[in-house]
Amino acid sequence: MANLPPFSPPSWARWLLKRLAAYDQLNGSMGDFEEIYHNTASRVGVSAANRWYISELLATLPEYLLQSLLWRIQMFRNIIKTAWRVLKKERLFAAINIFGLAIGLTASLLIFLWVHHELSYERHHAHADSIYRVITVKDAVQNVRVPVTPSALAPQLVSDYAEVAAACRVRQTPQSLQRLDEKTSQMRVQVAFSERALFDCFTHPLVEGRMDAGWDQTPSIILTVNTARRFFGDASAVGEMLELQGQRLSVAAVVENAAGPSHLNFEAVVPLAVLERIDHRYDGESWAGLTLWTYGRLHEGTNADGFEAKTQTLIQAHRPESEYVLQLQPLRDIHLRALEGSDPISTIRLYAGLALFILIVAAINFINLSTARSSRRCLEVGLRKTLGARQSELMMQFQGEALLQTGIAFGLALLLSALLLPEFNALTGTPLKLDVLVSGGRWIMVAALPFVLGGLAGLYPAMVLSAFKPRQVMHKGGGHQFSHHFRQGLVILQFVLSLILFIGALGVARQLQYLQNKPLGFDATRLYYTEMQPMAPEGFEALRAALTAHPAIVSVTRTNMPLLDLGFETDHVFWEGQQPGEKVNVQIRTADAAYLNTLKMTLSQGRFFEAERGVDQGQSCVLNESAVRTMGLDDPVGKWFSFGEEQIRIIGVVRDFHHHSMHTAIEPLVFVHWPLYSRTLFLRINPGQREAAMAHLRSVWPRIRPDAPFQVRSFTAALDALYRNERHTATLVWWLGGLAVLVACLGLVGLTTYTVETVRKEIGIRKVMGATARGIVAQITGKYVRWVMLSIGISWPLSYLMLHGWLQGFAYRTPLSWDLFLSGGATILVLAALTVSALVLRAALVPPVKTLRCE
Amino acid sequence: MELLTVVEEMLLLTVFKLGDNAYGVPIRETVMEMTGKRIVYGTLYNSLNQLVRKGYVRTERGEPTAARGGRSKVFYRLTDYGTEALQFTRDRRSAIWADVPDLA
Repeated sequence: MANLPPFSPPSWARWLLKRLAAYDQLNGSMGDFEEIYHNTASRVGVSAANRWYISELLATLPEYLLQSLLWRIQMFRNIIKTAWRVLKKERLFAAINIFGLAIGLTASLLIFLWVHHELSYERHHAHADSIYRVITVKDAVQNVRVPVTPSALAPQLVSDYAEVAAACRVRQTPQSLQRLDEKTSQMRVQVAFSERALFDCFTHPLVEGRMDAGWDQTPSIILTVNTARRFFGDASAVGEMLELQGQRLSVAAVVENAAGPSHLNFEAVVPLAVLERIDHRYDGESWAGLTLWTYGRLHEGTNADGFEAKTQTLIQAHRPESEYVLQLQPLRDIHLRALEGSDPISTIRLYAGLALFILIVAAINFINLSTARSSRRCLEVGLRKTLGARQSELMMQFQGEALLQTGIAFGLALLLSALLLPEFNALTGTPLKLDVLVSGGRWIMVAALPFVLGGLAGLYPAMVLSAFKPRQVMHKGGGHQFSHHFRQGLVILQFVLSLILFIGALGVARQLQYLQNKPLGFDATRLYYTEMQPMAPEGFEALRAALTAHPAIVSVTRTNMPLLDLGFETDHVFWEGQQPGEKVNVQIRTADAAYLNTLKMTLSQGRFFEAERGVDQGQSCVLNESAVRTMGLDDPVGKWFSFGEEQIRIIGVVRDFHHHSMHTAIEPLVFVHWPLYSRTLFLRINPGQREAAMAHLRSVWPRIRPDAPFQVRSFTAALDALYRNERHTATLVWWLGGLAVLVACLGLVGLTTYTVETVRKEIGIRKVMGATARGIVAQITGKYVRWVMLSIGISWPLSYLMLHGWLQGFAYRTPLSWDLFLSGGATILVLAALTVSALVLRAALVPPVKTLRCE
Repeated sequence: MELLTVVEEMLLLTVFKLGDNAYGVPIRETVMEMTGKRIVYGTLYNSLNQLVRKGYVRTERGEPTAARGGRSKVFYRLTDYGTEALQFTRDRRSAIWADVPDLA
């Protein structure tokens, strides 16, 4: 009987049948199959039997599949139902778990949106990957990199190089536009002075009107849809007239708005021919100045490096004396990599890292709380196993619970994100929208997120919980040692991460405060500036008199550029005592006699320009201390200095002042009295008289700048803008740090509640034996305090390294003193100790009779 | 007492007729003879399982045989409830048909 028959069905078919019938062992269907197979084989033949077996199997397949699917759905419903019951039974744990996870998810969702927005710059242009911006680099070694190029470059690129599919020049400035029929008032519009080729490079589909080849020479304007709507409402804009700085322009076409964020954010395009009429300094085809931006679209498959090598020396080919060479910058890099200073991409990476941190903290919280409950659940597990549940089934049950909770947390996080998005947008200054999450098939990833997260976070608890051996847990009723250590490790890791974020936030805030409080070397309050037309000294003296005649205006001076910009500089300088080959790059600022007092700078040696002395004009200069140091001048006053032409006298030295952001060190700077270069007006206003001063300025405005609308900027606002990125970083890191601490403390609440529950009787007995509530609190809290202290110890060097790295981006930085780390650590320690001891105290104050009564 | 469906009635009758030999293979053959249609095993076992759940039949495990790949037969026996249901259905059906003359 035990002998197997000499023939048997194909093994794969047999295996399949066995899998299918696995759930259904009652009716012996496998045996029946074998028997018929055997009969057929011995009567008709093996191949007939095989045929029968397989055809029977295939015919049965749908039925079996349906059955097993129904069974699975049943099972899933059962899991969810049980999970829901568990959740309701342990409300506090569930709430802490879900809330903690939701916070972490919200933070990371918002930051994901922001990172996505930053990375999506320029991506909407169809040729984004083959467009390059030409930048100008001085000397290649000095690393002065500016995005402006000579105006003759683009035409030459198109005519001489086959690799170039299209090239265009752009100058983008805000301009005031008005309808000729004056039905709407003047509006500020970001205007790109450019050419038709702009639309061959960048993607802006035509909506109405036409763009002829001759457009470049016509007095016309192309509007984006939004701008057209602002001026003309829903009516067609094509053919209408607009006025820009006295030029009448007819609307030639309307193009789509930019489909995504771009560094070119123009709202209207005007031919360069019009710019030539407005700005007399602009010269249409010249290799002399660096006047506008040049973009080139290369043909697909062109080697950009090879092309760069060919075009590098184009400026020098036309002007052999020039020190400038050209480089190509990929379009997509413009937003992500700065020409100088730290790259924005590093900030983006930092934020993404922070988001990941907080998500990890929240996930750890989840894992911790779920495993901490294990000893409560182990009896259940034992019972289920005794009744025949397999470990895999129990794992599914626990995974199901984790999934339910992450699912709810995810829903909550979506809700929170939607609520917080406006705030977040105001904070970061970005137009983020939630629909990014669901567009372009991304919803699949988003929808999968809670499953992945729930799967991962639930994996460990499920493994631990389902592995309990019935005999052990029924007997002792305790969890096991390993999971205890693991949990301890997780709590420590969680606190380390939270501490790094928290101390990081403190450090960033301190640096920002340092920047804002560091003496600038001049007084920025109530200082205003604006552009002005070039003026001969007599004309300017009359203007100065007209302005200071008003009591609200203290003093007026003029210079060549707003203080906070860099750029007007040269290394073609010579001085008394210069070593052969010694080179120094100096910033050039023009000034007049009123400059020093208007900006309230201090003189350290000699004197400043004086109005009475005609010799000062063009024949004297004043250095800053940094220039004196770099040039190695011992006694500078009276020595000569030169820009390569005639020698001029150094008449004084001013104290170093921050003429640029504190990311960069104070550079050598020289003041000269060149009135014709001075096209920026500085004004100091009396306290509390801003309105009066502005009203007066407005009345004098036509004399300051007849060709432009009234615009005066405040210096404090400009300074503010300079550190906007740092402020955003600080606010975000504050929020994230605070959230991480909150989540970690929530975790502590959960763990403590659990600990207290397991030792309720112990507390009762101790109290009966004479222990005080204080002693009990100290004992239990002590354990957690030790954990947190260990975390503090670990987090100090790590946060030091992180902050140290971040501060390297600043030339002037606050010292990382020990009290920063101490106060950060102490805050968290106190917070954690308070959280734990409050919970323990509540349990310790319960009269023993209540906890011990039932035995 | 509920009236049996035609399939239930046929299966119960088969089990009854086969007596001690009522397991999967002969049950299937008999039903195929009765109806003249091929019956897929999946369907057969689902129907039999349903009969078990409703309490009309019970199962009994036989000896394993080599011809069955070392697996035992599972025999089906009518329960008392099953016998009763079959009887009830027969009575009702005869009553319905009693006063019907030849249809043709």
